[in-house]
Amino acid sequence: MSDNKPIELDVRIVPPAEKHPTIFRTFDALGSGEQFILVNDHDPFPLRYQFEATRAGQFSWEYLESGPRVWRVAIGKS
Amino acid sequence: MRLAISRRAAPQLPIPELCELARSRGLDGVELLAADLDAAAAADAAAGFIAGIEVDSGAAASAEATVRRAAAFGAPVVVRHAALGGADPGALARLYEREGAELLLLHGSTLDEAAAVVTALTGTASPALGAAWEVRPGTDDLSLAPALLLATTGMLRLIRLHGGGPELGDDQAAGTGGLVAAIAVSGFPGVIVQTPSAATRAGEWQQWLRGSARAGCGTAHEKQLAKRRTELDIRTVEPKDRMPTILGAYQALSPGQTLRVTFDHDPSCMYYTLQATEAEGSFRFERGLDGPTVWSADVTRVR
Repeated sequence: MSDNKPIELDVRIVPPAEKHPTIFRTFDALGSGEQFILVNDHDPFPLRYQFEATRAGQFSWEYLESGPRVWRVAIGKS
Repeated sequence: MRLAISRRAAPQLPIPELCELARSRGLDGVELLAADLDAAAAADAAAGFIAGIEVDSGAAASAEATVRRAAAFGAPVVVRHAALGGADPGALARLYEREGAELLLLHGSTLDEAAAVVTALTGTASPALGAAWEVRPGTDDLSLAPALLLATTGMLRLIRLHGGGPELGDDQAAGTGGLVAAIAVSGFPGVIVQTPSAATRAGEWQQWLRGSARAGCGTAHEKQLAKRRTELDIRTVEPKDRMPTILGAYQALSPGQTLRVTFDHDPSCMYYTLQATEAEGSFRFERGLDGPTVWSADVTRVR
């Protein structure tokens, strides 16, 4: 995470039980102002609701690519 | 980072069809086997979509025909470092540089193997040579992943992952989340190739590629059926179709009816989604089984 290129977390190859814990661990490890790119094969809107409920005001959410096969979301830490 | 699939997922399919299915799955490439290079039809259809060419011996890796085809595909040749035997990495580097091709030396998940590859690469200092890592989450010691990624920084260009695809729900896949996070944090710029953990599983993979794995779950018909159920085992539905299936089943409930959902992950995301999308006080949510492999929740439509 030291260079300028944001890290890319592709959860298409993460088992269902580990997807959200892996995403939240990655987010929690970010420094203020840092971001990562989440890659998935569907719109991760349930994750966004979970972020809003558990990390309200601490994150930013920007769709970089919205399907139809791949979604990329830049998730940043405020 | 890009995500690709190995030819081993569908060894019988014509290459153009395999590439088409991989594209329809949103994947970025296919890793072929050396034997595929002879298929004349492969070249045109697969141009620009080949993530690598898996070869099994030093002799194959140093055959000029292989190197030329690899250069034409714009894809690296991937060979197990140990299979090179006494071959001189310097001579290989000169051959690959001359032909404008790329050779990746494959190591497993031990520090010794990775160190041997790093030594060979450092010795030649050739841009035509790089490293590849073959990882089996079911049997390898994944705690070494950060150290392996650090040791091969700047050299690692391909990771061959045994699992993924239709195998994500397997016990063998446990720990893949931490591995993927370590790869992400390392800034790995290359390609991850998913491959079946055993040749016997190619059938499942081919079905998965066709998007019809697990008997049509996620199809319109299946979603229609789900609407009439009050029990839903969401584990049999592909992740991408899960939340629409759950919401469809919930919305079909009459007031007072309860939907029991069985998961292979914590159902919090379902709770938060209902909370955000349904009127306040319109549902009741009760957790049942609480992991570590199976979870369940009862959601009751109150009004």
